[in-house]
Amino acid sequence: MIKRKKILTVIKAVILWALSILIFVPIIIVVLNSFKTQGEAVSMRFTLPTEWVFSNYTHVMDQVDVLGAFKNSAIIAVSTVIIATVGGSLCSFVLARRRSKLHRFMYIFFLVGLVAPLNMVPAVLVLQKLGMMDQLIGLILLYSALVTPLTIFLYYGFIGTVPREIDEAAIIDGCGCMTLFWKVVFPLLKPVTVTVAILNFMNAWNDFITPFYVMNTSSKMPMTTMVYSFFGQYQRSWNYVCVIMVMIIVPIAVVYAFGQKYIIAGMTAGAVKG
Amino acid sequence: MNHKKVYPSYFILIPFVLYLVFFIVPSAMGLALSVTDWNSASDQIHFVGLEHFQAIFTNKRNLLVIANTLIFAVVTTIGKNAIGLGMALALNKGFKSRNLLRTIFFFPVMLSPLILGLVFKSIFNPEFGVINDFLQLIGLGTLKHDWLGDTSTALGAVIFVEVWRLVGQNMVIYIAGLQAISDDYLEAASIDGATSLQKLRYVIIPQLIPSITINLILNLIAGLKVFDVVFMLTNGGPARKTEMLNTLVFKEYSSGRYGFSTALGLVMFVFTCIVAFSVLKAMAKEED
Repeated sequence: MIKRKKILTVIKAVILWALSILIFVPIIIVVLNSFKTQGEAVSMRFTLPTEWVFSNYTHVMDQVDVLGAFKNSAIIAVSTVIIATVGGSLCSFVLARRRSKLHRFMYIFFLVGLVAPLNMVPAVLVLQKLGMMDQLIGLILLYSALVTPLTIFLYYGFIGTVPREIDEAAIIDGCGCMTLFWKVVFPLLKPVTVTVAILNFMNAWNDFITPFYVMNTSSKMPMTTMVYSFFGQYQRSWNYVCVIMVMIIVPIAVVYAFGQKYIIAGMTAGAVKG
Repeated sequence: MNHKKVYPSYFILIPFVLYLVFFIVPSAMGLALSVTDWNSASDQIHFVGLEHFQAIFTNKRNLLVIANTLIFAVVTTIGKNAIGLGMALALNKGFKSRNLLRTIFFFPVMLSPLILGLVFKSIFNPEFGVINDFLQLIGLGTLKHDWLGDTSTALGAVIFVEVWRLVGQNMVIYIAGLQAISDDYLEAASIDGATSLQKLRYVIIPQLIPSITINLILNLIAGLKVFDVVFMLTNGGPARKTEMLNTLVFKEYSSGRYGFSTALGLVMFVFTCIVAFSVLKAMAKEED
């Protein structure tokens, strides 16, 4: 009986590892082809390059401003994370602590955005009216608004587990509301802050549709729209397209390698609460 | 303790203003603009009543798009949940490398869907794509196919990519749910002589209802507003077989039909809300 169970476990492991090939193959194809010659990469085959062309990377860097796009993506994602974290944590703190009818209503008001998609065309109109079309600040503020519902949902749930007595003790010790929050409460929220920061970073970093609607100037484009326009110009040069893809995947892979515990925790946080 | 002083209302200000200006206002404007003929060709905006909605729900092309979107949302949801649950059950307990496998299966969730669309565009390529190469290799060369270009397989191929991309997300949510189930229940079921299948049906699934709910909602919402993957893989083709609401919104916007595009966006908004709340309600009943 025990032996049979052991064999079953081994079979299970083998099947799952075989399945994981399905995840690896597409990514390895991209990496391999980024080192091939243009002629060889045309067929995007799952083979080692006959000749490793490392200069593909420098060539792409010369052709398009990859670093610029990278910088734009970083500015957009980091600013979104900062605004959403500061604003969202403060807001959730008050909503979770005051719990009057009005605050309860506001919480639900925020949650609508968790479900409903943004209507893109009027959003573009709003940005136009504010003079924020084709501006990084427009994208940043738009993202900060769009990630607010999830940010508040996660913070609100977590703050509910932080005892109120802590607030009272701090107030008695003479803390103002700002010191109370930033010095006493916020440090306790670290696990959820990490989760929220990573999720928001990912959303802003990977988003394509929003900049596709609102950004026109290539020097202001983030990575995703840059990849798209690059692909439009270099449809035949898959080796270069692969280089760009590697450049966009690597930072994410690094973030994932270090933060996967928090990321997966963040993805499941909603499930636990139902 | 004075609540108003300790938890001041101005703490709410930043998210509230942002959310109001960039989400609520566009949504409300969507309501107003969807009943106009606002377009790029004319400076004047006229009230046209429910004309756009009538067009959306009677015109054959638009109905096809709605049908595509619903099929896409439902089939990807079923696929992601069924496979994700299977993987979660396999990875929940047992062998050593399961944590590593979990990390691997979740990785695609992190990547930009646009990039993945681009990768799979090459993988599905009729002349040299890896899928066709593989079929040739294992002697099924007759199945070689222009997966994205053929009207009978395009939607299936797009669905495959979406399931591939997000199955890991469903998996981790199910694993979290499974780990909350106490072993006592399973042991008791074993003692009573329940088979694995019976355990799954009568012990595991009922306790997983919260995870199932969240997965159904997340996937249906993602499916209804899908854009990047479809846009990159097929851009709605061939013959509109993979046209989705969100890709049509963009096409109408680019051709300057802003009023109609807004109306489509509103339809998507309403669909998503209806689906999310119906699932929530149905599952809440199931939980009782």
